[in-house]
Amino acid sequence: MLEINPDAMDIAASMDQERSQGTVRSNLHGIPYLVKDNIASKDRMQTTAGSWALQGSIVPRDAHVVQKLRDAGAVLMGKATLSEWADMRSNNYSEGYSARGGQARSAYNFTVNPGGSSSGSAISVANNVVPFSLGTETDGSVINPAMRNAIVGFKPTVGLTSRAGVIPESEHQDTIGTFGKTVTDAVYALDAIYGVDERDNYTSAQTGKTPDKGYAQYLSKAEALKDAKFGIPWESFWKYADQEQLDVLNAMIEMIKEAGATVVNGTELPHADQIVSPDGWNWDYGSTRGYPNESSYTYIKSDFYNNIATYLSEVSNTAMKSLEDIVQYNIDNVGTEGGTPGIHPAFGSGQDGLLASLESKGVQNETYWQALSFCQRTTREEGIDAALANGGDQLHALLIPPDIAQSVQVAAQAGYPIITVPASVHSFSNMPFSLAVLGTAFSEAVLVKYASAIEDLMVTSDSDFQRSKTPPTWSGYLERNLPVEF
Amino acid sequence: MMFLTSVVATLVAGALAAPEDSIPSPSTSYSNASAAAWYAMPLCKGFSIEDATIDELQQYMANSNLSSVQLLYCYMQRYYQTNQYIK
Repeated sequence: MLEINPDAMDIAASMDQERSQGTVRSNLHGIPYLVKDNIASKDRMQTTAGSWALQGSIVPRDAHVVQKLRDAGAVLMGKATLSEWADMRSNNYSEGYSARGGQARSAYNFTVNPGGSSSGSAISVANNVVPFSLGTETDGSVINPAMRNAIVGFKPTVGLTSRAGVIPESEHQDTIGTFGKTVTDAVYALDAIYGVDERDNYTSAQTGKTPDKGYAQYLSKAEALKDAKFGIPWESFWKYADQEQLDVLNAMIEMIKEAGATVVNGTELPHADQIVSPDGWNWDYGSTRGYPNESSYTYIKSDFYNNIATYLSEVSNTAMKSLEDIVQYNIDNVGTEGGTPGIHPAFGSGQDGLLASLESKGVQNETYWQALSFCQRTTREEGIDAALANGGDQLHALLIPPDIAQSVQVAAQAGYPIITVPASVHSFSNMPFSLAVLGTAFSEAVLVKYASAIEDLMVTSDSDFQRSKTPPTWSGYLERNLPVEF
Repeated sequence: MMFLTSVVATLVAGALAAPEDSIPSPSTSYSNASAAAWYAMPLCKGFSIEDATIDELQQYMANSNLSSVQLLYCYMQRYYQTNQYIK
């Protein structure tokens, strides 16, 4: 946690007063929560993405998602720490570190990557500091920390949750997600925050594709698995998983099959060889192959240049008006912000991510549009949707191992939703891993139905594959290494 | 930290204070158990909120077992207990 809301007690007291008068606004009435520090709140707290560069800056209004949670009666307890600039700033860095927040650490292992960039949002829920929280994802930043702290992370379709008032990375991939200890809790939070917002025109895409009364109505028991049809993209993603993880996830899939689900192996993404890096997370894999016009990083770094300027245009009491200003700030304050390589232990490569964006100047040239078109086509209709089509025998969803970051990256480029269900922990690190359900655009109802059914199956059968069987061990809690091991 | 101190002072002395019976006597003896054991979350005014679901928390509030202020108070205590480690 980065900051406590000075108004939290007053909000809670007013919610108690409302309840005593018979008003209960929603199932989040009176419930404390945190938001990631890149989500604006118009109150006495900061909104900085963890950077001193935005210290004291004044936002024009609450982020849409914060306003919706206020309307729902939830109690904003504070801001959660994060990887600075949501990992946009550096490509060699200490995950979970920000200059303002310091190094976030997972209670499962204090010495390694705690998951990020929504590190504090996940860690706080895993440790009962709050019942639920919000994070943001551009390329894994909800799913990864949820997985690494054995909680449920729900990353909705890009356009389901408004990004207005959120410090951006890329308008094409940014989405606001939720964290809870159970699928139900994560869904309650999503129900409170989704909706069309005139300040984010991407949200108009959800019109006609969302349920009238929220997603909680789709929460299900294990019996719902009887009619489920899932795909396993083995060659595309699963073959990269380690054996210990495969043993656990295979055992879970066997249980899912025994509960009545049809599970089809070998439902692949046709362009996997072009979009799945064989060496782990790589958001510039197209360029690695020699094709910047087939790389997500090509449009993300241009988008950041433009989107951050738009965000800053509405923020006052700050000298930061552009990416140029931020880059210069990090150089002028190199001791705290590590603007040059090799100075700051948490920012090994300095600010190479920001510099790459700066170099792009936000230009939207032919390479930019080709990259966007390629990434969307090969991950959507010729990617996830093709795997779901399963040669004419349509599947409900794909099951993926989110520890294989490339599976989450493909969904990020598509803008498609994922929900994680805790599985177990790695014996070599004590760090958790998950099973995840991935679907097509705006298929959140399907994901809620089956993720909750899988969770129910694991819990009611008293299996080893559930959060309560793998509590945090506080491994390495006396150590304070920086950077953390990746 | 000045601010944190003032919140606690408000809680103890002010109108928002949790009822007297919810404030346990400060413990003066701590075990030498491992971190994973002492990290356990204490009860909140006699009710377990460790790993409580939102539905369970709503039930506590609906039954007047816990108020939102008391719930927030207990989560703040949890923050004080853990934040020096996990941030």
